[in-house]
This record gives sequence, structure tokens and C-alpha cells, in this order.
Amino acid sequence: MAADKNIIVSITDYVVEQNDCRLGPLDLSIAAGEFLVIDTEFPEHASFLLRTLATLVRPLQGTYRFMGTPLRFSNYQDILEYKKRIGYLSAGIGMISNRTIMSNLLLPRYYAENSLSLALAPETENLCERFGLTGRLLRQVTDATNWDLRTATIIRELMKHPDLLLVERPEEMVPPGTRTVLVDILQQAIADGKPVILFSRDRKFLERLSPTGRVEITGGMCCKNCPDRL
Amino acid sequence: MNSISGIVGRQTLTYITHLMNLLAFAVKLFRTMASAPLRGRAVVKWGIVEQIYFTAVQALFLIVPLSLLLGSMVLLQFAKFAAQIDLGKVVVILIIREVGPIVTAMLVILRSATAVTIEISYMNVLNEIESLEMAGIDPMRLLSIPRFIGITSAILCLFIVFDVGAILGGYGIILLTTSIPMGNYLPDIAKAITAPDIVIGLVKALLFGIVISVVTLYHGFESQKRVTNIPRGTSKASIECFFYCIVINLFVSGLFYF
Repeated sequence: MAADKNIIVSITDYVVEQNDCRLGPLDLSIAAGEFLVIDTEFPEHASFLLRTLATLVRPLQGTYRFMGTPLRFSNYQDILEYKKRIGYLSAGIGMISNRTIMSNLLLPRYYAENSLSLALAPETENLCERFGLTGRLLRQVTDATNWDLRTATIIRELMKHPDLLLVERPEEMVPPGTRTVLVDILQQAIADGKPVILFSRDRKFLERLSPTGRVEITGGMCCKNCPDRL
Repeated sequence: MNSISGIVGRQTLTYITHLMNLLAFAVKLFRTMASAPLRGRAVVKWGIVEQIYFTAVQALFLIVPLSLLLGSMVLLQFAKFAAQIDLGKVVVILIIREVGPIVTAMLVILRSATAVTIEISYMNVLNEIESLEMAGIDPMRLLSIPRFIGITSAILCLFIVFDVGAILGGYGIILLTTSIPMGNYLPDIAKAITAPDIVIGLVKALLFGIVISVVTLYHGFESQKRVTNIPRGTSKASIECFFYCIVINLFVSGLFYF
């Protein structure tokens, strides 16, 4: 167990419900540098847990602490600052359809820096280059391929420099040719001491990373109307 | 419990809850506008300009011919009685006070309000709103404020265009295409029109804009991530907008003229 000061996220007695699927009560702590893998038969359970950790699901009960600060879910605006500090790499997170990929990547900066005359940061350009997205940045989201959109989502989330990385089925987010890039990025994040929680059904992908543990499911989590327990 | 009174009671409670939700959404929207008004102002401004373009500028191609047709229709009907009635007063009452704001509101409901509900609902279903939240962007600020300001100011502008088009354009069409004598029409209008008429028309347009944007945005955000809810929500939003506009129109007219 890591020392308390290294705990990035801790949830206690946490119960969430969505679409008749109930999860909890959950007790989970994620410390800096931990790399946890979710082990479940059902991808939707893993997705639900990751969405919960990404603060996208309002709890029915329990406490969510982010770096020691308890989050108040009564007003979604209070949690936005914390959401920004969580990188959620998932095919389920979309891009704004009536914009180009480039303006989607720039949108958080447009908003934060109050300016529309911004160019991509060198770091973002570098990531676009590594993922082979550079030539397609000016495409409208509606004209882009799913691979491009998911890759852009990864870049946008990574550019937040998150304190916690949640990764859902990475094998479905990047085309086979650039999977190595994502593996390298995740390895680097772990080496930098960022906690990572990952769910993947691709054994080859998991073999290339070295998890430090699994999310313990000790009967505390249950799904009310799900096909099986998480 | 299934008696008529039970059904009526439940429906009434559901409707009151819905009205309270709409009110709460409006309060949330105004509070978001009032708190930290400078945050993200560049993107919000960009959204406002886009919304005004979609709702006002693109609608000019519809509102101008519509105003000419309605203006000339009113004049055709009443010009025959020009000797018995004050044509200027009739036009002011019909066009500036009543028809102008309602027709403008209807056009915006049909063209833009439905589009806004569908757009926000799809953004909800496709997790685009969550994506904004994950980027630390307040969707209420980025999506609602531009649409609210854009639609409200578009209705105000379109109302003025409609009135001018209907009064002057209608007059021009009648003058060019018929032999109906229109000698004192413009001086009659100038005599009949008063500042309260214009102000009340503008107040109506402003209230319509607020109601239309609040109702459409509320239904968009309420789509609960189900595609099947989108057509239902859109239809409900447009009907509600139209109904509330009629009620407001009646209420404001009653308040100021009786």
C-alpha cells in the first residue's frame, strides 16, 4: 500500500448506478506510479468503472477524493477542474462534430487562453506526427475516419498532462500500425510516476506493459441487473 | 387511482414539475452567464456569431419574402375599407403588435429551435458533451450561452426586418401591382405608430427569444443519451415553444393594452 500522500484517487463506500446497472459499494485507492489492469469478462463493466473514476457518473453514495480533496457532485461545474486532470482514453469519448480535428485539439486552449489565434503546441504537433495524424488535422470531424478521431481523442487527453490516466480498450483506439506509439507513451507515463488504469481484451497489448496490480474485486462490487458480477 | 381526477392530477403534477425544471434550467443559464463572464469569452463570442449567422442572416431569405407577402395580404384585405377605417392603425395593431413578433418566433422555432434541440441531443448521445467536460470546459457556457444570446438577438433583429418589410414592402407591392389608392398610407402609419408599440413589440420578441432558447436547450440536454428520445424531444420542444410564445403574446398584449 502506497503512502497516503501518494494517493491520487481514492473512493470509499462508493455506489453508482447507470442504465439499471449498479456498481458498489466500492473502495479503491490509486497511488502515483501504480499501473492497474481491470480484469472482467464484461467490457461494459470495465467501461462503467472507468467512467466512474473519470467522474462522469454521479454517485448515489460515497466519497471520491482527488489528491485528498473530496469532490462535490451536487454541482457539475465544481468537478470540471478535476475532470481536466484525468485523462480518459476511450473510444466512447467523442469529438465536437461541427469542427475540424485541429480545432477540437485546440478547443481546450481556446477556452482557457481566451483566444482563437492559437497554433498547436510543439508537443501536440509531435504527437500528431508520431500517430500519423498531421496531414489530416484540417478534416472536419464528420469526414474523418474513426481511427483518426480516436487518435485525436488520445492526443487531446494526453495534452491535458493528466494526473491519472484511464485507458479503455486501447487496441480499439489506434490503428495497428501506431499501437507501439501508444504503448511507448503509456510506458513513459508509468515511468514518470503517473497512475494508469487500463482495460484491454488484447493479451498481446497487455504483455507489452507490466501491470503492478489488478483492480481488486472482492464481492464489494455488484451489478443489479447485469449479466454477471463485475 | 385511475379515475379521471387521478389522471388529471398526475398530469398536472408532471407539468408543474416540468415547468419548475425549465425555470431551474433558466436560472442555471443566467447564473452561468453572470459568474465569471470573461471565462472562455473568445469561443463563446465565436459561437454567438455562428448562431446569429444561422438564425438571423440565413433566415433573411425567408423572412423578407414572408414579410412582403403578409404585408401586402393585410393591405389588400383592409385597403378596400380605407374610407371606413384608419388603415395606419390597423397595420400597426396587426403587424407591429401581434403578427410581427409571432411570425418571427414561428420562423425561428421552425428553422433554428428544432435544429438546436437536435444538435444538443446528438451531442449528448454521441458523448460530445462529456468530451467537453473532460477537457474542463463548461458545456453550459460553451453551448448554451451562444445559442441563448444568438437566438434572442436574432429574433429581435428579424422582428425589425419583418415589420419594415411588411409595412414598406407590402405598400410597395400594392402600389406596383394594383390600382388600389394608397395615398395617405404612410402618413397614417406615421400618425398611428407610437413609441410603446415599438417597445412592446421588442419586449415580446425579447421574451420569445428567451423562452425559445431556454426550452430548446433544456430539451436538448434532457435527451438522456437515447437516440429515440431525439425526435420526441424536438417535437415537444417546438410545440412548447409555440405554445409559450402565444401565451406570452397574449399576456403582454393584455398587460399593456387593456
